[in-house]
Amino acid sequence: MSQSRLLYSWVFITLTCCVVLLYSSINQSIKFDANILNILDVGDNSGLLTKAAREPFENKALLLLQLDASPQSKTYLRELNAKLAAQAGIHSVSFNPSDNLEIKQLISTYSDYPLAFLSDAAQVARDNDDYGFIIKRYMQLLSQPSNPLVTLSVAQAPLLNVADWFSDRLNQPLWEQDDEFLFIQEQGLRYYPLFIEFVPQAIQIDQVVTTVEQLDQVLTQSHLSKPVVVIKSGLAFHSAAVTQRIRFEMQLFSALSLIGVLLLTLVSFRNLRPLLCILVLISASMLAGMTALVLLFEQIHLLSLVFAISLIGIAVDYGYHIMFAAKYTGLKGISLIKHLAPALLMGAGTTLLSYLLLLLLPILLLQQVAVFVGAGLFFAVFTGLSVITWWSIKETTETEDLATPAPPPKGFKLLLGMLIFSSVLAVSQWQFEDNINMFNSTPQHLLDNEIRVSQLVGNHQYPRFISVAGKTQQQILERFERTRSAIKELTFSAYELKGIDLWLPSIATQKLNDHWLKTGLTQQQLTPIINMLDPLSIEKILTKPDSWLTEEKLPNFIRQMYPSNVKQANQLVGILSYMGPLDEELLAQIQGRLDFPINYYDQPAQYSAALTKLRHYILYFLAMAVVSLVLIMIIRYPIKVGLKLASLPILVAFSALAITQLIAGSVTIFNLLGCILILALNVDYVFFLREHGRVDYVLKSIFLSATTSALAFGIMVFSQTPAIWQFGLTVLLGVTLGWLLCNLLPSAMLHQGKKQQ
Amino acid sequence: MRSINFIPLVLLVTVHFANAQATAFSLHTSSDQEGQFVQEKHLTVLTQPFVTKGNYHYQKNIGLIWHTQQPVESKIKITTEGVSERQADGHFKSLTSSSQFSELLLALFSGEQQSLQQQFYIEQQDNRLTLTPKSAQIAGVILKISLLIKDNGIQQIVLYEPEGNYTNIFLNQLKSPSGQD
Repeated sequence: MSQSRLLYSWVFITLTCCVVLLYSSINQSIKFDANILNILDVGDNSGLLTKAAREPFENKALLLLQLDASPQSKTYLRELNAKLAAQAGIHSVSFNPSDNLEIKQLISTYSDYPLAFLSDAAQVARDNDDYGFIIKRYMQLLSQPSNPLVTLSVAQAPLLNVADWFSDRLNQPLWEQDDEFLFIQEQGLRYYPLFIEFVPQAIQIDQVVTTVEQLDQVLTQSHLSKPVVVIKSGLAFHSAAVTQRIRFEMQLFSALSLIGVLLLTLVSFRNLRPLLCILVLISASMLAGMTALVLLFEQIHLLSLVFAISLIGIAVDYGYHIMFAAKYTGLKGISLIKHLAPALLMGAGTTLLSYLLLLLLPILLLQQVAVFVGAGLFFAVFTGLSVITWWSIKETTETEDLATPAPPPKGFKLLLGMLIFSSVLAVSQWQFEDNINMFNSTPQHLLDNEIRVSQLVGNHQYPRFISVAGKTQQQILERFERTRSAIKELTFSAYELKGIDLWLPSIATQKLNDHWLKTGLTQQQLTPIINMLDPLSIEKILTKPDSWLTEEKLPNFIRQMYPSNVKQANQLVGILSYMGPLDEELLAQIQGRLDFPINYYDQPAQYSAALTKLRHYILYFLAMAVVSLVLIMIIRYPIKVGLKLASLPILVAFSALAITQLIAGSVTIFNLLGCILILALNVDYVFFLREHGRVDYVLKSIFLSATTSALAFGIMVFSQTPAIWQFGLTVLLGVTLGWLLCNLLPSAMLHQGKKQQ
Repeated sequence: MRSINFIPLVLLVTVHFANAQATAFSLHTSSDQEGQFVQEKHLTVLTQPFVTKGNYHYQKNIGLIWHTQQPVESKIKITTEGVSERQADGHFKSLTSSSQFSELLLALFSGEQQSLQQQFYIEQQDNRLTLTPKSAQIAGVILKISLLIKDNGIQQIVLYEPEGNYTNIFLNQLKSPSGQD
């Protein structure tokens, strides 16, 4: 292919990428995600279940305001409520979650089934056939000066069992009440809750930061003499904080890396043309990477982009090699391509292969990094060979000097010894860390807030849930009831067990209640009540055709309070959200009381297990990459030489990991991911040294490559996101050690076996 | 989605009640009152009124104890912080959802006069006050409240509810409001 064809092809690909990105931007079809948990595959269908379990809580937030009981505090609370309710991103704000219930509509719906509902205590009475309880409760309810539940239900459900049932459901045992406010008191301090529901669109990644900033602004407006302590709980706050941080880091690191790379290029070449070449190379590779991501993925994880800026470090390597070769060999165009192609394609090919292998791993983040870096790398090489070889810079008089082989400095064995020593030292204390909490990038103050809220309100920080499978909705409801009953019998904790069965008893239970109350009426067990009631009202409920409350008849706002069932194979899976801890022993005890299986999902434990699984995958992948590297080396070079050359990147990668272990005390999957990049970069260095010899311009280009890579990745060490700084630290170490080792590499090793080729 | 939010509405009444119409409605109460009550609940589903009897005790710092003695024994404590019912074991269980009129009683006994007009239209004919809710939401549960006042004390409260139901409470104050606030 001629140089001009290569150029035309390059222009065509570049324009196509621009059009795709422009079209996607105009259509707003580029969507981002920032939740680190979404990048993990937790196996089976628990991902779907977790999503369903999280859904009712996703738009919700809880603020606890520490205030005294003074009228000024209450005025402030009322004003705050009004201001928050006026925010465009907030759907509703209330002091009491029951405020959002349409009581009149609810009572009207439930009163249609006048004998179907019994409060928890009344159900116990039913099980003991204790009609006395119903009579006593009836008298108590009628004795109260006024009770709206009685007023609204008595005409249709004259036994007042529905009113009693609602008393149970609407009761907020955790909270005390003062005027219209609920509160919790602890150590003499009052915490008033504000229950917030966001507009779903307002907590999407592109708007969540603004929504939370507006909310924070309202919270800071207080005319009270003392600053108000506000404890926040809700996914939106975490999402906003993480999004803001990652966006900031992405922009900062990209800008700093780019500036650093460009400055280094300018200083090295003292010419503007190489600078423009590097700019074109970086832009082209980024363009290709982004286009590939947009085309292949519905949603792009922001972490993928953070890792993908590493492409800058790899892409410029090829630019430097090409420009140094052009400058000091005097070659240009096709002849330069022919000179560079073997080393360049071997190095880029190995790197590309390593990254593409990431596609085999079941982790979205890595797949996105692989696609971005893969496409970017391919186009970087293509840009280098088609554009930069053609747009070569003028020759220099230094050609002769720089093309002369340079003697290696001493110290290779010392460095080798140190690397081996640190590796052995680290092996003795090796520890893989897979705990998901290690990767939680939420700011500490938000985590502290969540812990404080869970201490005060009794809810646990992470949602845990129990799933129950069934053939029908009714079977699930019956199993919910039995699970609830088993947990209630075994534990006396105040932790909440949230499920739709609270508002929708199974038809079996409704029938049982109905039958028991009808028996009481017909067998004169409820005589004191019967004697007071109008005979017509009794006849009306006794002759009413049987009908039962089903999910379809439930008001929407009740259904939306609880997770939906998830279809799994040929059955349905229902979710009971449990807000407390459940250890294995208790779970076994609960299971022992049930004749159907229940599954307990502890998200942190599940994500940690997913990380362990993922680590195993990455280790297999690394082993495959090492084997591929060795194979390529021994195919290209004599076996002994190939093995020696292959051992260098492997040793560097392992040493970097070992030193990371010594510094950080443990190694995570993100350190292992760094090793993939270390292998890829060091393979390039080894290929260039072996193919072009230990000439000065190759060493200079390796130095520049290593420096730019160290800059691009090393800057990640300053990240506040654990995954990013762990990755950055290992790569920084690997690139530095790789450069040192290449620089000290004995000439004998580079020339060994060359005659036999 | 809007709801009928009974408790806050009634609590508003609590806060605003007594001061509502200073000229038309002047209720001077003692910080310590006690007496007997007879409550008649007239519900359309009942063949005859459901009558409860008992006594009450109001102390400014403690709140109102509404002690029903007949036909069942029950004790309700009404404070500004809510309504709770005495359980068999002696402790009080919060009744956050059934405090509708109970808290209104507290407002009457405490005699704190605030702007009742915000929530109710108030009419006075001789010694009878009629409170009609302004809000349709309150009106869904309480049509109107009628108070009979004698000697600066409440003698009768009638609470009119929908569908022809109403509650009649007769108060017989034993301790006169000597220590007026």
